[in-house]
Amino acid sequence: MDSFDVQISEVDGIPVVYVFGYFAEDAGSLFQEKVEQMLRRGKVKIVFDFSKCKAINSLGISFIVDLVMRITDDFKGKVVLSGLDKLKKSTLTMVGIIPLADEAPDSVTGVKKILA
Amino acid sequence: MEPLEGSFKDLDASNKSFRLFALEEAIRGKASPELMKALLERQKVETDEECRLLLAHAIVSVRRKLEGTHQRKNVIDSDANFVADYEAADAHARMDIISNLPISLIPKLGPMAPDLLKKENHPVLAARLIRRFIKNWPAEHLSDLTVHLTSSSLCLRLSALEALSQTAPDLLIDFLPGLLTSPEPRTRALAVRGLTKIDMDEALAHLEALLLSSDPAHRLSGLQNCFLIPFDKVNDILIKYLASENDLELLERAGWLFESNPNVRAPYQLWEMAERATSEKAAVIKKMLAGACKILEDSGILGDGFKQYMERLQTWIHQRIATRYVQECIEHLSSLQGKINPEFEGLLVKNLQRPAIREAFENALTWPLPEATISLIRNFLNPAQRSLFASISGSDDTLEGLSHEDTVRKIAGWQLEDLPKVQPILTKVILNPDTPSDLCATALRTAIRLKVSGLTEVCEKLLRRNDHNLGAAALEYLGTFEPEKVLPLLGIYFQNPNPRMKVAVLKILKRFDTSQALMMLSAMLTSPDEERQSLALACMVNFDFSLIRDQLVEFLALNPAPRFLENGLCLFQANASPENLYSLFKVEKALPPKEANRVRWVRKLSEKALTNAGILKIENGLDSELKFEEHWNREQAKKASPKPAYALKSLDTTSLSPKKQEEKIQKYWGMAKTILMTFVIVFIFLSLIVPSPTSPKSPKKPQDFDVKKPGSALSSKHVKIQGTVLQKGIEGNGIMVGTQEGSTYLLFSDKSSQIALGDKIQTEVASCSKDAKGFIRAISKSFVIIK
Repeated sequence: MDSFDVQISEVDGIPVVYVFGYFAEDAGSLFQEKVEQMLRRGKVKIVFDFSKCKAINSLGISFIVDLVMRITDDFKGKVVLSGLDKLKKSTLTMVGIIPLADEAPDSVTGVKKILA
Repeated sequence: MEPLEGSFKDLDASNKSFRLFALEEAIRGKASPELMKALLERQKVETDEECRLLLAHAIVSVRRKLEGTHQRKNVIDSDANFVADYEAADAHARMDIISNLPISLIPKLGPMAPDLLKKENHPVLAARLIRRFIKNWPAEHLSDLTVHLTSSSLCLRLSALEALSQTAPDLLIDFLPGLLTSPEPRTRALAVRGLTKIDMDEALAHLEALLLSSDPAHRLSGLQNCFLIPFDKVNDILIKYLASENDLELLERAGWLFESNPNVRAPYQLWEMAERATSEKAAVIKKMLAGACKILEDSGILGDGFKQYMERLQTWIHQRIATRYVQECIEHLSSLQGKINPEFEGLLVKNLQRPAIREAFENALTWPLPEATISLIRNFLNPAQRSLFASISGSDDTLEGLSHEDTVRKIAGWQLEDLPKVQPILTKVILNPDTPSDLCATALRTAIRLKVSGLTEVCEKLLRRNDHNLGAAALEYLGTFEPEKVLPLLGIYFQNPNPRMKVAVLKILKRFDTSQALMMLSAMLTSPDEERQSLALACMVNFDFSLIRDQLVEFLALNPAPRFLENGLCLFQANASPENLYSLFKVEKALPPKEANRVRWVRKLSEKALTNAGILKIENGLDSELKFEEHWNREQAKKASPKPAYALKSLDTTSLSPKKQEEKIQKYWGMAKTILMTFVIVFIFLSLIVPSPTSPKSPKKPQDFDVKKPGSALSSKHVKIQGTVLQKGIEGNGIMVGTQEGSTYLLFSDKSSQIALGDKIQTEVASCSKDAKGFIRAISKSFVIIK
């Protein structure tokens, strides 16, 4: 199995969650755990960056759906998804995550969109 | 201006639940000037009361977001006066209050929500209350929500259903039979999602029914569900779905699932499908196949074995092409009863020059075939026998001096690479009125194979000749190159007792309405007439095996007569896949020992072939046997226990009993026949008393069809209509056009992208039929934009 990782850095006070490798169940759990930590710290405006993510499977999609719903509905926060290729964008649109979450070509633009 | 994204596009959807969903997203999601414009446009035409209220709120919400004032209006920041403030507010202010509640207040206000909901009379507001508070809803009051599952308000019903699906799915059980059979697609899809948490097997059965529905909106909802269920659970259902889907846009969406979820079986299954699909569909499936291979590599699930996997896939593809051809030949040989026709022979001799085909024929000698067929195959494999015909098959264009039989053989043997030389001769043979019927039929089938178009006019004439062989070839030709000419008439041809005509109809219908074709096949299989049953088995080679496997299992379990069993087992062998193994095991269980042993032998042979091809990994044969036995026992226990009321088989959704299917088909086509006969009589009568419409003195007026019955085939006549474009992008390239006469047409054309909403157009349409919603569906070849 290809390796995966989830890393967080902050740009202008906005957390950017970077996903690496193949985003399936294990990566999803790690992703969820890290995002929940952010939410507990009151960070409700977040960029999810998928530019280094090779693929997202159905279980990975479910994690993203849950987290985006949770951030926008429960926390009244904002999510920008960045670095999506055509397939990822189409899939996230199909399940209704886009346009609930905004989309940006890269994480820098994503942060700008959140701060705008 | 950027185009609207995702669900926002559904603001103009004809289906209300899609509009409601888009409005909810507009309220929750990001704002943009484009969205604002679309909402204001929709407000001008929206007539539904629920949608109007949500629309008004969405407009206010988006406007405030654009102005940056969305968090300052109607904000309650303490729980002390919440109930009083809420009750004193009007509907719009209430909507604001709910939407703008600070997160910190929600857990505190949660206990008050059930009371507020009881007092709230407006269904849209009640729905918003449920959505906002559901995560903090008091557990003892969750059952209060069930009353809204039968609400007349769609918005409220969906909200309660979604909430209970997430928090207390068990409370849905008593309501599921109604929800799962709802004509409304989102209700049905959400019910299936809730059912996944109660009974996954049944949820998957309902999901399959949703995906195989004839309504594209239901299929789209089903697809959306597939993204939220683990892929290994939906893979096989999706394969069946892909095999039956002809809407390219929906196919593309389904493809995203295969391109995102690595599965070693998927490339094999997708390749099979691409092989049988029309060229447009095959292009989409092949893209999917490339994506399915890429995700195998990207995900790394094969470790270092990706290259090896691709090589095995390639080898398997070559073998399958040859095996499929052999399977078709065997079906043909079985139907000839000892008499080989020259057309078949000519093509076979040509193909036997390929080593892969020869090898596949040699392998077929191990299949459970009748002795006579085995002996014929041995003859063909015999080089001395082959050379008898080798001299007459060739790419040269000389038909001179050949006997009639040799001419048939020669034309049948022409291949694509011969086309430049042979096309003029082929066309000449077909156009010549003195060509004998059997030769003309062979030439037409060769023309289909070599993709020679432009002969539809003569085919229409040939179809009227009283010769079934020629008629079937002409029908198939028209179905390939100008399907709109024959689609409305397929029912009539299906009633023709001649097997060739029936096969031709099923082949065409399968490409355009797979579920209808499957229904016809099922009706033939369950007919008491053994000839029709045999014919149905022979027709199965034209379908994706995933679509007919279950039907075949059921049939063989009840009809183990050697002629059926042999043909059925051949189908299993020719379409080897891991999914076949348990199906064969089920057939074994239903049969007496002698027949069961025969099936077991085929299963073991398939297992070995699949293992050799690297598709199946069996470490211990006994393990798989035990697993099948356990699976079988579980299924039997489930069958023996009373079925829950929500079970698909307890509900009459799409699965009608075979007898009902037969009745439905007869009624459907009978109706079409009556209407067509009436048309013919009226046409003959009118042609005697009314001047010809093509006469210069009688200018053509735009006209509407006289369409009475939904689902009925009407006319293949070309008629001009004039109207306004009301909607675009329906089922891909469809547009909705309203005529001055008050009819609504759904027109399908590859040129529809040139037209804008509101355009007034004039067009010539053909192949009209009326759908269940009362729209007239038709094919349109070209448009003139009047304004």
